[in-house]
Amino acid sequence: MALTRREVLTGTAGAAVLATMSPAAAQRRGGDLVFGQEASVPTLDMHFSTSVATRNTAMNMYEMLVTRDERNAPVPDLAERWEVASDGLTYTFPLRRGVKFHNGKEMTSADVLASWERYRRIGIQRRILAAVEKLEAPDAGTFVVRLKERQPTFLDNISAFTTPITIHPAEEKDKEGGRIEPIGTGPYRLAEFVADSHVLIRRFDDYASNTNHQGTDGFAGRKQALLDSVRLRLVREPGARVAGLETGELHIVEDVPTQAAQRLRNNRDIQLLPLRHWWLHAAWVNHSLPPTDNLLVRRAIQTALDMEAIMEIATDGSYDLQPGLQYPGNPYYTDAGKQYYNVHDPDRAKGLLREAGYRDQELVIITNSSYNSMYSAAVVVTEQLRAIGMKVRMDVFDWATAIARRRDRTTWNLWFTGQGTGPSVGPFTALIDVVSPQLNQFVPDPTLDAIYAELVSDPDEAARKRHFARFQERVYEQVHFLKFGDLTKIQAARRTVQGFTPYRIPRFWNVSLGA
Amino acid sequence: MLRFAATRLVAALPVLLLVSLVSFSVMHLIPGDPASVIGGPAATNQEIDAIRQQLGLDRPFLEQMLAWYGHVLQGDFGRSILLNTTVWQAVVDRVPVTFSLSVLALFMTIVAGVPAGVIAALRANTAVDAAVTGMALLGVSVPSFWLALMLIVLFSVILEWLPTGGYVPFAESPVDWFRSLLMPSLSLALLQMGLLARITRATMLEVLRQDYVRTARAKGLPRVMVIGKHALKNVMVPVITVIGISFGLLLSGSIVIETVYSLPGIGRLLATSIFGRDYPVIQGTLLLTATMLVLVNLVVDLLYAAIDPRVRYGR
Repeated sequence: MALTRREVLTGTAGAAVLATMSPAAAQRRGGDLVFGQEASVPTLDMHFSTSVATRNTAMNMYEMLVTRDERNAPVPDLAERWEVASDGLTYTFPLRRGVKFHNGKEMTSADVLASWERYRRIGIQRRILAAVEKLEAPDAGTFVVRLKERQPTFLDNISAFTTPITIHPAEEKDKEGGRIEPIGTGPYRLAEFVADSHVLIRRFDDYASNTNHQGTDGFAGRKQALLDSVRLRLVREPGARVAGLETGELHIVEDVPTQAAQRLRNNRDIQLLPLRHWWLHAAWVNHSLPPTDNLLVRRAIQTALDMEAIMEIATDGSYDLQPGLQYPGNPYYTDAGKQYYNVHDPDRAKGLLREAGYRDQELVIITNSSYNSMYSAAVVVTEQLRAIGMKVRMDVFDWATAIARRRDRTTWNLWFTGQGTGPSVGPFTALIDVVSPQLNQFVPDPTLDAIYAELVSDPDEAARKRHFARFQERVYEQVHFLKFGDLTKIQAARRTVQGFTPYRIPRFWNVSLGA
Repeated sequence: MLRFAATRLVAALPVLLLVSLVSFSVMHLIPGDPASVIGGPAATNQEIDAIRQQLGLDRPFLEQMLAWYGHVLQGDFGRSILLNTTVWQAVVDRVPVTFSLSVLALFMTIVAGVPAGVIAALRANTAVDAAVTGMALLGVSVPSFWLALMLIVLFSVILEWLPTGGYVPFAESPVDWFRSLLMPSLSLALLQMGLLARITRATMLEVLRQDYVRTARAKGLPRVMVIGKHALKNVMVPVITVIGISFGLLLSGSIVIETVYSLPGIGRLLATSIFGRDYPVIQGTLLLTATMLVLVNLVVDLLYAAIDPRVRYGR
């Protein structure tokens, strides 16, 4: 029996109660928590990684100048606050005093400057600093950024945690990608890293909590390391993760299969913590290769799809259907374009194919065997499109090959993917692929580019939100992207765990272990 | 004997060269590279190109290959692209895990597989034989992945005797080391036991029909002596061949078992590096594993001579 969305909702309410019922004052200090995670940590250099497993660990060790709050809006962390000059070109960040690195050294603006310089040199998403003209450290407690041109989304960009601009000691500046010493200012410091096995982090006793806040707030807030240590253990096999949680070897696990979640619900020692809107399932659409070069064919595909059937099979029932390319609750969320979403009208789709003059041209779908849900979604889409009379071929590769294939516009029509972190950090990076000159705009769409230009340059936030709604509508109207639905990631914890609130990554500050 | 061993080692060099050549070419020819894995699907073409340049992957294929061979000849297997360490260190860190796992599994395989095969042969075409053969068939047929999970449910969740996974180094606690390897070794061994029992049974049946066994019985030797001294020794030649092959299979089977039981071994390293296209690690691991298999085969050949006096090398 699958976990229904209604049951998932009940679980979320339970999680919220769990969080509010555990005030820090009543929490016990000490204890060693074990977290079972599904993917191996490739590196602890956040400037050079997009891996979720790296983020799971490293965001508990490192901090940023500006980060995200619980709703994913920018908020100062190592910065005390920010000041923007009236011309919009200069950002001044007074730094919090008394913040220490894990090596005992006090953090100053020289470290911030060096970390940003390193990110500009090797950071995977260094394009977010493309508008920077100059970085300055006028005194030990102030960091200044001067821009070449106005960039109203600057704070959104530098606080995004897809590839976060974490702050490290200045001595790390010249280290190449992946070669950094794992030293930060976070509440936990690295104790041991055994690749393919585990990462052990211990409480950093000299950690300086941000007293501007009361409690947990996204990646910012008043962070307190209550646990002695956290061991993030790699347990790749879901069945073994669930078994480890049941025996008490693991205190918290991620990615619980829906069927196992059903069983765990009856276990009084375990609490399910579903993270709704964790991941958005979708497919990119290639406008340069027949038959999807024809808008009517693309519309036929869009009209035919039954998103409920696709998501039910892809996720075993843990999903939400909503048209937004942002998650509900995010500052930029909109349902613009909803008239094109989940239409599920095969007859109308057949009519559109006839109108398009479609004659048995082969539609090539690329999916991968590395992510089960993407594979299953592709199987269902293939069948639904065959049902309206399309000739469909499904090519299945491993993830690395699929990514490489995507760069060859002559080999595919629909490319199956999922976006997790991208949509959560805002609208500026998630859909940049369809904007020229990025990856996916094989055929120019000047209208879309113009809307995007307004989105990133309008100084008024309310206006930017309107531009994003137009952007999303255009993506639907031209069928650049076929969104299926949002997947719920189910985490689970032993009842002895207190203060753990589900978020984009597991946060181990303000978390304690009861008796 | 020494000369034979030396000749065999020299003869292995072209094999190792071929292994490295094939692994280098195949990995570089299949689509996808470490840059696209590091950058993820959202990375732009420019970002991917920049990462590729940083990693030196923009150099011509031949240049990369020659540079790699040059370094390997000096004993330098290069640096991993994804792990912040050298290939040699990555492999050396993981060898104790896979080696302990394989040796323990091999021990279980021999201790259970050979006697089961002998008993089945001695009781050929009886209920005992059918039971052993049936179990052997089951052992070979059951997917190790499923079996491993069932063992976790039984020994960890229900009986609470053993940990669900993870590895404890021998130096840290010999008892916990053994406990952490017991279920993984058993999962691996159950597969091989069936194979070994069936080979032992078939060979034993053949040997029991030989004249010298009849002679030994006719001159009144006790049954234990006939089986234990005369028959079993001759059974061991093909059995040792199978054990040698098993050792290789154990190494490859450990990929699945190491995943289920979260053991940081060579199998896991190889799988992770293939999915991440970590070329230096893939090449280094394959070359070292191939060397290990060549050595195991050499040991098997030398054992033939020790067991069968008719086999003499180096004359």
